[in-house]
Amino acid sequence: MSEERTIELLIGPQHPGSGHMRLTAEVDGDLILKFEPNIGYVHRAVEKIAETKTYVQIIPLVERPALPDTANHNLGYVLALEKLLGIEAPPRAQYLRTLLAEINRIHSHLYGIGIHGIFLGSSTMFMWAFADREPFIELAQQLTGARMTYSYIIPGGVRRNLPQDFKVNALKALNYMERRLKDYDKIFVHNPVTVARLSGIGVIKKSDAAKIGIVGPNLRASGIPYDVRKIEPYCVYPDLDFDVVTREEGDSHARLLARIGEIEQSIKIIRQILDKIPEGPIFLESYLKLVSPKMRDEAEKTGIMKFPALFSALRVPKGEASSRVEGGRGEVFYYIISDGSPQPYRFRMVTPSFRNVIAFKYALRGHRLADIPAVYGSLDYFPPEADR
Amino acid sequence: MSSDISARLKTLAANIVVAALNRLLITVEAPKIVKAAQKLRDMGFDHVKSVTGIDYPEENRIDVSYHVSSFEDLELAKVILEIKTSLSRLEPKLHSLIEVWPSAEYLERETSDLLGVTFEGQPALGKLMLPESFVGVPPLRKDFKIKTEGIDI
Repeated sequence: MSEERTIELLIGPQHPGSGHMRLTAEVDGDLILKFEPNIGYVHRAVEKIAETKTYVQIIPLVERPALPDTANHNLGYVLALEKLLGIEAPPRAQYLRTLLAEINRIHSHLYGIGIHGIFLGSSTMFMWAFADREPFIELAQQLTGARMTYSYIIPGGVRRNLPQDFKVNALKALNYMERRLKDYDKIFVHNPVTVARLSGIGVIKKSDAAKIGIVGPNLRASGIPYDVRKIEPYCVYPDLDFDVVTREEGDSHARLLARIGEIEQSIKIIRQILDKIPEGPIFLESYLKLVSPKMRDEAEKTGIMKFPALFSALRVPKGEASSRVEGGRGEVFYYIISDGSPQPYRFRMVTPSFRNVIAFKYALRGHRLADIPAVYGSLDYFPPEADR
Repeated sequence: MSSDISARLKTLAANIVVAALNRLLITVEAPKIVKAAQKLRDMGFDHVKSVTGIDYPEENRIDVSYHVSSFEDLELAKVILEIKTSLSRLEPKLHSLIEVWPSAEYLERETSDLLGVTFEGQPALGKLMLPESFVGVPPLRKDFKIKTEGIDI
């Protein structure tokens, strides 16, 4: 094959569906020979900014790159911080953290499925998934006071107690979602058009998946049962009964099915949390003692913990800590180095989308140009999360 | 685990300590990092989670840390190894580990952009996170100061 046969095709960096990135494809006709993602168009230097902020100011910062999945990013950071501080939140707070993380996982997956739908030209799936995120965003709002950027999880606990009618509303949302998953199945997930566009496309073999280090549902769709919630359980996951959803095929359809399966598991988890959640404090007693009696009374009466002033002067001992949590899109990894000053000396945040960007290179080789949206959508790749 | 790794790495590792629960810190000298990485990969550590560069201007060094673990062996997956090496700050150069762990590719490229560490053996593909036209101090070095608006308390 002579070199003149191939051309280099540039896609982006305009918004191709879920954020800004550039894709470079070397094609022969419409056959992809080489595929290279070029990212960084929405790089916001979170790691550098973190070095100028106090530890508690970093909580809203880590949420910004991944708006559909803020709770898990918040949680991962606070777990690393708590390791440095040598503290652990009380059981009720751990349950509330897990509750929010799973609500977030559901609406993060719905976001991914919706985007995947519109990439394939199914505007119904897009509208449905985005509309059905709403009950879960409402639940999160009821619990935390915010729709997306909760900043709910703080060192030593959480900011708000469970509202009184939460359980009723949550059960309604869960029942609704279970019904909707059946509708999704009929109109999109096992629709012959979807299956034809996705199955056998963008296959990532099991051995390759481990080698290139992809994470989350993408990894599990290639047959590797790695889920941080099982491997290094945190919060109350050891007490909950749920399955790790894996698929053997490793293709784009398997990745879609893995997400659907995880929504079902998250529903199961939230039901257990609602039944099992213990009474008790939502904030560490030893920290609560440092708060003024007036604020303590108010917190008790309203169930709302204001950001206590003690956090603005939070001193973190010298040392290093790393944490990992299973976010919606995969493993979120934090590594913090503290030199004892009010700001971290070095703050490292590795997001699932950044680890998944390498999949574009491997999954699209040998496919047709028209397969790009099918594979892109199946990876649930979110550029702002990757670029940070 | 710690003794098993030290038996395999022998003189390749300068120091191995248990840093925390399920966290192992392995310090290696820069020239030995590829060999040490190969040994660890053969043990079953199959992917890199993070590559972190840390700037210490007073001590004139830049540390590079690789956080490594396993996907295929779920027992090893419980442990995260940190492989740490120190480089001179004037000319921070390290042999790339992408031949051992292809998953390090984008992580190394990011570190190369933001800390100015050269990874030998990385195909030169230009900037990843920064604009192609960027010149000056790499942003994650300590002497790169970001402008603040002075409204923080």
